[in-house]
Amino acid sequence: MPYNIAMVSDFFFPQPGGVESHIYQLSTKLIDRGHKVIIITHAYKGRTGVRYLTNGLKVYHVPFLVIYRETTMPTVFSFFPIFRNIVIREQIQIVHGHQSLSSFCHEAILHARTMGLRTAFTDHSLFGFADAGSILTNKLLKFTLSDVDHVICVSHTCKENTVLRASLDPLMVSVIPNAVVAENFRPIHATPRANERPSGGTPQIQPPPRPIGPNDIITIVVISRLFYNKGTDLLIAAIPRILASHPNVRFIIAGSGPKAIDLEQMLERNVLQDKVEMLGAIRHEEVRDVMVRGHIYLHPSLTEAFGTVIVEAASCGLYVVCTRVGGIPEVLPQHMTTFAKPEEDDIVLATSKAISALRSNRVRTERFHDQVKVMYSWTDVARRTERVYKGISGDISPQEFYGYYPGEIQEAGDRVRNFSLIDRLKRYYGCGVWAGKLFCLCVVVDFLLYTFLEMWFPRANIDIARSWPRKLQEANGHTAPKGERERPALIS
Amino acid sequence: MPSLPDSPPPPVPPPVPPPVPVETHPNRTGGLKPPSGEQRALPDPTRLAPEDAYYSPSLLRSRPGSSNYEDPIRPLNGTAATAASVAALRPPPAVPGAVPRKDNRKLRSGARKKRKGAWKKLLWVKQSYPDNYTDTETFLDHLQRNPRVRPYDFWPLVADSTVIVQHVCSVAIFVCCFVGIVQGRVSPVSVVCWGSVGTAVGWILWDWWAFTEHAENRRALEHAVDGDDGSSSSSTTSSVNPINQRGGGQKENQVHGLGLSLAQNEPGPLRRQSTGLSADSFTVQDPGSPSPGSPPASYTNGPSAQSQPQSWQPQSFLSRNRQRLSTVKSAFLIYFSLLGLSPILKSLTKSTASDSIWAMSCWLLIMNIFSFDYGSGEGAGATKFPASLSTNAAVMASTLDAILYRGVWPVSNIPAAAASYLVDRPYILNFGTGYARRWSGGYYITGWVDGRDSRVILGKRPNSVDDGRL
Repeated sequence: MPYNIAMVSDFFFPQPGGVESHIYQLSTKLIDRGHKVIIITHAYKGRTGVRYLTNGLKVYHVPFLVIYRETTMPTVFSFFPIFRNIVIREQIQIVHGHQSLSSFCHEAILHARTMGLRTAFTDHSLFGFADAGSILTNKLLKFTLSDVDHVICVSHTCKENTVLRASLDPLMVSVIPNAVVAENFRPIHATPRANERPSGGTPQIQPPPRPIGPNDIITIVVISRLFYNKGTDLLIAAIPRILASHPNVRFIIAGSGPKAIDLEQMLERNVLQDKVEMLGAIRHEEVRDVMVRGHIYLHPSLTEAFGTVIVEAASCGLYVVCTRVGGIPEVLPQHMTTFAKPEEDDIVLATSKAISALRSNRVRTERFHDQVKVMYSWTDVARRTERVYKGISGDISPQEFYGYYPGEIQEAGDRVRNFSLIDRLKRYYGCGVWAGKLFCLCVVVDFLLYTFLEMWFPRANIDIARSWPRKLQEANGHTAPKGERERPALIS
Repeated sequence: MPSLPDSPPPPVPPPVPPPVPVETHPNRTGGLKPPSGEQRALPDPTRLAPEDAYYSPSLLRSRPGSSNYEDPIRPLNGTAATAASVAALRPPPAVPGAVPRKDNRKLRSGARKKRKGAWKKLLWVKQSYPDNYTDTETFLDHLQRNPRVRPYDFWPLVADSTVIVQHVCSVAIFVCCFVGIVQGRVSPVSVVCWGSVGTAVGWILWDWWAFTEHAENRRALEHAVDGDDGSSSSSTTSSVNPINQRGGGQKENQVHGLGLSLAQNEPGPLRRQSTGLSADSFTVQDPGSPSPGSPPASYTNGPSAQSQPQSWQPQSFLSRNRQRLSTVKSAFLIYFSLLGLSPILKSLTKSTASDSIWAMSCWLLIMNIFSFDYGSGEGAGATKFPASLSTNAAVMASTLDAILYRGVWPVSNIPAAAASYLVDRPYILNFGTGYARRWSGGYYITGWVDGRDSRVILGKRPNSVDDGRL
């Protein structure tokens, strides 16, 4: 049965990023599967109110105070009135929050549980446990996730991380990877099909690449934000050594960030400007055009939950050299990657290995694209997410969804989160000696707020929004984004 | 792929076949095990199981048996498929012509299947397990608990904490002197005199002691293997390569000689002071500032920049004498520049009320104590504040106290008083510094025999980095 789903996150277009495109792609594919999906995010500059994107995807940009890196101010309750209004208006059944740093998402999950809705949460990143900031973030995550119905993580490592951070039952955590739109990341020699418009940069059909000779230039591409956690320091240390031992190697570095200055200083110190090209920040659409200029993609990240960019690189036909951290080892098969420890020496070694492998033509990079296309697709992600929705809303029996375990300590029925306040309080109370009581207080206040809202702004006074007409009924369902028109649906 | 109706482990109900233990993880031993329930090893009780993350960790939890951990097959669409389909669900081979995508989909939709392929911790493989499947063998098996915990010993900790005690003491001495002068119990001239005498004596003692220490260290270093040659930190700036470049070393030497004088006198305040009050040329050379291109400490394998100068300690008395001379020179320079500047200070601060100055100087001193860079030797980047914050706070507090003092005392005393406060505080501090460092250094010599002691004595605190370059 089709569901009405609300995706809630602080991060959405027009801001570029992995989470943003994940939400968008997943939503459109879910719409294709017959569900109704809306997105709730905060207002971006010049973008407030309701917008429609392609395929009738409705986006609510709620005006809210943004404090840090597009994250809204964590007020526990102030989002509730407008959230309730939107949820009732759109007849939402499932609230799906994204990204643990988004306070919008946490608030929405809390309020949705108070309103008696099913909730899911997708975690896109890894966190540590040691420093004070992580401890605080993890406690807040535990607060939200102690009553969530299901959690989705983008990799198995991310699942382990989230399970530990939020003390979850591992069976309530599904692993659904990210995906790439493989058509947007075609290698340069790919023949554009007749029914597809040629993607930028390859209007003419090019001959398949000739094998790389022993003295041909090999270009290494690095596309990442230049932050500490992306391993830019490793990159800075490794580039001179790689270039010293391999004269016929060039680098292309795209991305910006606080470490860009260090990188430029390194280039000047070692006089490598003619061998290393720095492109600065590039748009996501241009990533493919940069990638296809290279042969090897180097990804020196220190922590990564999934690493969509290496999938994109492999899809472009690049051989991938990456660090063995986080979820990266799970993402690509062995023959597409060379792994390194996150150390300077090992990265240099792995890159040299990759260069020699390419020079000896042992790697069939021209086949990577088709393989990646088979591995990851958003349709598959949407199908698997739909199963999660079915599981939490009871369309799949809990036994089937969570599995049946004979002789288990815990009853299987416990995983189905019921909505009675006392049970919710029980779950929150276990969060900690002091935190548990504080969380219970928050939940009780939230519940009182809900009853207050029900009295003062009764449901009967809230209009029900009409759904966007289905794609089958409307001919021009695939047109460009339709702007901010809240128009009555044209139902044939 | 054989189906397995023959080997259900005893506790498992018949409809649930056991999983086939196949090598799925690099940590596991061996390849394909025989698919019998009896041969499957019980889960290692020392290893975390999935429910450990959920329930409160009880270390002596007994695992009742392997059957608890054997998940039933839950194919994605609720149906089972044939063994052939599971074979098709295997990871696509490296040769990409045989990617079994098509029959994969076809078979999954229709046919029945038994579980064949063992779960793999991979994302790019289409697996016949549900998304929330938790593999009990591999789940959390890479978890490390407290990998970087360093147990502390009591006495080294006490020795380390003397740095803090010493700093607090010197601040207290400063406050006592000031209060004594304000209340008229002590004459400012005597404080200045005693402070100067104490500083001179302390400096001479310290200098002698540091010299003997260095001699000992050098002797020890000569015996030891010359391991840290400074050139191994390849990613630092290439100019810091003191072994090969004697000339460069000499040049740095001079710089450090100047820094030494400041280091003698609790280097920060005086140095900042001089930047603030007399814009002399020597303030440009600031050896304490870190080199901008130095990488984070986690990436350097070589010795840190602090310990490098010790490997090329000046051999001759000549350079030492030059350093001493420059020390004395800069001390006099600062002293007289302060004397010259104090009238300006006086006229600038005529209209200031004294009560706010009390509060401000208190706060500044507290700030100085809390933001002082106590230099936690090994931990790189342990201090969040720049070292200048603390020293600037101290200078500011001294200045404010001097202003306050002007309000109390007759005008004729002002220059001497201001100078006394600006100067004697660091001098007194220096006395305390030298003494306490000497004590803790002695401790370390007895306590630590390895090469670390020289680092601790001479390079422990950032302001004593300059001392280390004696």
